[in-house]
Amino acid sequence: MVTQTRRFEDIQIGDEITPLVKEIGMARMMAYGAATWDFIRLHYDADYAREAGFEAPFVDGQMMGGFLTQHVQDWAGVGAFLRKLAFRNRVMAYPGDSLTCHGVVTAVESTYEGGMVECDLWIENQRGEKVVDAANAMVRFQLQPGN
Amino acid sequence: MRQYALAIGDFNPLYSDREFAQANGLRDVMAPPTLICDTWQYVDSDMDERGDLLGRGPIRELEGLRAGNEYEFFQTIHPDDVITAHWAVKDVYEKTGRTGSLVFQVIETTFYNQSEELLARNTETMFYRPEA
Repeated sequence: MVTQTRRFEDIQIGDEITPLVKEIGMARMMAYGAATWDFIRLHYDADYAREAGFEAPFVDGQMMGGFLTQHVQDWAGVGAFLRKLAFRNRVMAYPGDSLTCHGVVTAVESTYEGGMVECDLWIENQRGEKVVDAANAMVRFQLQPGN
Repeated sequence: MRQYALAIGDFNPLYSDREFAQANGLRDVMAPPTLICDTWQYVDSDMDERGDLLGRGPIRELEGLRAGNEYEFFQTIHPDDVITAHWAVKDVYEKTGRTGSLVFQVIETTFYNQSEELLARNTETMFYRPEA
């Protein structure tokens, strides 16, 4: 959780987005289904998921968007506005997985809309597999007066 | 909003602490940005035995898997907003790869508030294995 503000003027191409680790548990997956009105049994019913050919119930791929939002917003701080987020799901995530969100700044530009920062993002599991790749985000920062 | 934040494990005070949100220039707490894109709350229907809401759309006879999402956010969203979602199939195409043929479906959902201001756009790509 981040409550400070990051200054646009301090951000440079190549900066790392502070990594964020998410431990995947069945309770969190269940809570996500309930919070989003998504009752697809593949995400919580182990017998059903196995019969359908999966090793276990798997994480709803959209949950990765929630993780990446937290990842970027925690780094960018209060006052920064997430303008865009895109991601591709590659490998399923299962209960017991430990996922790490990574990112790097790829573009920094002052515009009439504000200070725009783009970054590449990806999520790896504990085996080093890319669960999400490629992903990217655009964040708008307030410009300091006088710039 | 709190339930979604709990599910993600994201305890950003902008989502839960009104005084903190207002001290940072918002009129109230804000929704986690992806919440309105992820929720099926607006689908007013029963569900089938797979847990799939019956009102979710045209290709429901196959299990869909997620290829990816692209979100665009235009404004912060607050608890007093009344949101209207517009849902459209933008594209359907088939790709043949190593493991056989897959059908991709691209769905675009746009979200507006009570003042008809655009809040967010979600372009979602799902894929399906046609039955053999």
